[in-house]
Amino acid sequence: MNKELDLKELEKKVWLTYFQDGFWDIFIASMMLTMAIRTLTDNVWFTLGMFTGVPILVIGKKFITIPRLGHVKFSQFRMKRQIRLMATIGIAVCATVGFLLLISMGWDAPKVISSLGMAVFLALIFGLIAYFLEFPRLFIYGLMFATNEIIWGLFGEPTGPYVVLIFGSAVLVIGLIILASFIRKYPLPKEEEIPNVL
Amino acid sequence: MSSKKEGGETQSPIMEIDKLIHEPARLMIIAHLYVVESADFLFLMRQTGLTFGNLSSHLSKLEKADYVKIKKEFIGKKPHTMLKLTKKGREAFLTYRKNMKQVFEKLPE
Repeated sequence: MNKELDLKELEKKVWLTYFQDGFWDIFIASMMLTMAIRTLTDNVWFTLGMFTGVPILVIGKKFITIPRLGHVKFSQFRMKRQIRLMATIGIAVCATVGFLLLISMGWDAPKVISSLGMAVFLALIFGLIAYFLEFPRLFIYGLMFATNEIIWGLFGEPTGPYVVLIFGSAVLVIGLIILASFIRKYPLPKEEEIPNVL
Repeated sequence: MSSKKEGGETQSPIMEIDKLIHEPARLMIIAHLYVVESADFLFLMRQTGLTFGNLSSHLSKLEKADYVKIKKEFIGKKPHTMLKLTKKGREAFLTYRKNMKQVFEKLPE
């Protein structure tokens, strides 16, 4: 009974249900893969490809996840957490822009140091996002990004992009497996199962 | 009878248990609605594992007691029935939790 009435755990369980679909994994994989392909092909158009994950995430949630799990409006507690997350991401974006500006203005840090700095930064950002979203797999993906940044710094191209390609492929496979499992676990409800109650 | 007073003390929180909430399926429904702002039928079906008919029957009882508000609205072009705990429902659930805690605390080892 105590476990059933642990409301914090219940709320977290409900929240995490909406991460069982694999779309966040596919989103992160798309970022990794387009980053790698962009570097390997030296095609700047692939930079835009980094944003293809966003419509996949949005459309996937709208047309696959929600029709299977139902609509829910989370409480103020969860919404406040999201606001803190957005603020953290905002600060991270500003810090990244600042960092890149420094480099473009001629700050000539050794490649390994700047790679290490970037690795720590990425691990921290993903860690914070994972914390606010209470989505543990993001910690691992953050470590992947960070590890890749270090490898890229140590070995340069083409090792760096190939490592990203491998990581991205692994994450994509994980995402697709999770998605397939989710679709099998939560089939679309039949009309007679849940008639429109008016 | 000699332990009537004692029995009375032990029984009192039990007697105050809200039987409407105490039913396991309804307890699950209310607990899930408590931790969110509002949700639809499908959400509750998925989270509680209840069938539509079962869920509908329990929700009718909760609505009758004014613990749950059932609101019909459109999300996009599709009609949806959204469910929300009323203020009375939230207070009843908190009272239920408090009473249950007292019941367990007073039980002998």
